[in-house]
Amino acid sequence: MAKILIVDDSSFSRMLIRKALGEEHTFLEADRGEQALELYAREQPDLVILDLTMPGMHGAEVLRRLKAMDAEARVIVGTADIQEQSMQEVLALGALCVVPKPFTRERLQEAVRDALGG
Amino acid sequence: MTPWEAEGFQISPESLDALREAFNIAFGHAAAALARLVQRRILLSPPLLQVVRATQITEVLEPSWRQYTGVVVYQSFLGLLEGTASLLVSLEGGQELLKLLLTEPPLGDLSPSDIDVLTEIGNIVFGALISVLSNLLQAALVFDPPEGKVVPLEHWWRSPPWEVKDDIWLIVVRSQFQVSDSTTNFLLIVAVEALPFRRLQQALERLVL
Repeated sequence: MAKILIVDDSSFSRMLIRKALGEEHTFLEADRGEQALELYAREQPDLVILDLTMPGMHGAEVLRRLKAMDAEARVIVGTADIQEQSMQEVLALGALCVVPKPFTRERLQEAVRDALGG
Repeated sequence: MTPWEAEGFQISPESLDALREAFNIAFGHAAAALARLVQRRILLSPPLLQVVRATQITEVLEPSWRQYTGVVVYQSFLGLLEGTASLLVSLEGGQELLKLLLTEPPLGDLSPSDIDVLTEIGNIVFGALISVLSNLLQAALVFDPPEGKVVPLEHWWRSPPWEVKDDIWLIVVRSQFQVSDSTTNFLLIVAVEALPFRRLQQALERLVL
C-alpha cells in the first residue's frame, strides 16, 4: 500500500485515477500546483501523479520544484498534453514516465506498479 | 414537456467537470497534431467551459467575440450525439496561425487557400473532439467535412449554424494556444438539440457516479 498524491485541476480526472488504482492505496489530492507542493512537504507521499495543464503553476514547474524539494520524489505525469517536446521536458526533469489521457486502467496500474517497485 | 425538460437540464458540477476534462483531452491531442505540423511546442491553457441555451449566447460572450472579423470553421456531426461544432478565431489569430504554417504567410486579407489551411486546423480540432465525445458516449459519431470562412462576427451571431431557440444547447469553450511569443485565443461552440444533449448529460452522469 502506498500514499499517492494526485495533482489535477479536474475532480473527474482525480476520481478516475482513484477508481483505476483501487483501494490498495491511500490518496491525497491537490487541484493546484501550490497546494501540491504544500501537501508533498507535509505528507511525504510515496508517489505523485501529476497533470501538466492546470491553472496557475504549470505541471512542469511543479515537477521542477518537487525535485528541488526532494531529489528522490517519484512522479508520474498523467496528461492530455502528449506533444513530444512536453514529454521530453518532464522526463528530463525527472518524471518516471508519462501516461497519456485518456487513461486506461491497465496503463495507469502498470505505471504505478513500476514506479513503486523501482 | 417531458419530465427532464421540466428539470431544466441541470448539469451537476461533477458532470460539467467531466465535460471540461473531455475538451481538455481533445485540445491536448489536437495540440500534439498541430505541434507536429508547425514543428514547435504549443503551450495550452486549461479550457474554460460553460453550457448555455442558444438564446443566451450573446449575453455570455466577451465584446471581442461579438465584434470585428473572425475566421469560423464549422462542422456537422451525427450519431447518438448530433449537432454542429464551430471553431472561431479572430482574423489576427488566424493570420498568426498561418505564419506558423506557411513559408509565405498572408500580408492582408486571407485567400481561399489560407482559409483551406485554417479549415484543416479546425478539422484537426474537431477530429480530436469527436473522438473524445464518441468514447464518452460509447458510440460512433459521423461527421461532414468542415467548412471555413471569414465573417464579420456581429453578423455571424445572427445566423449561426444552429437555430437560435431555447431547446438548442451550446457548450461554449474558451482556450488558447501559445507558440513562441504568439498567442491565439479561440472559441469552440458545440451546439446540440435537447434530446442528444440529454444523452450527453446522462453519459456524463454515469461516468461521475
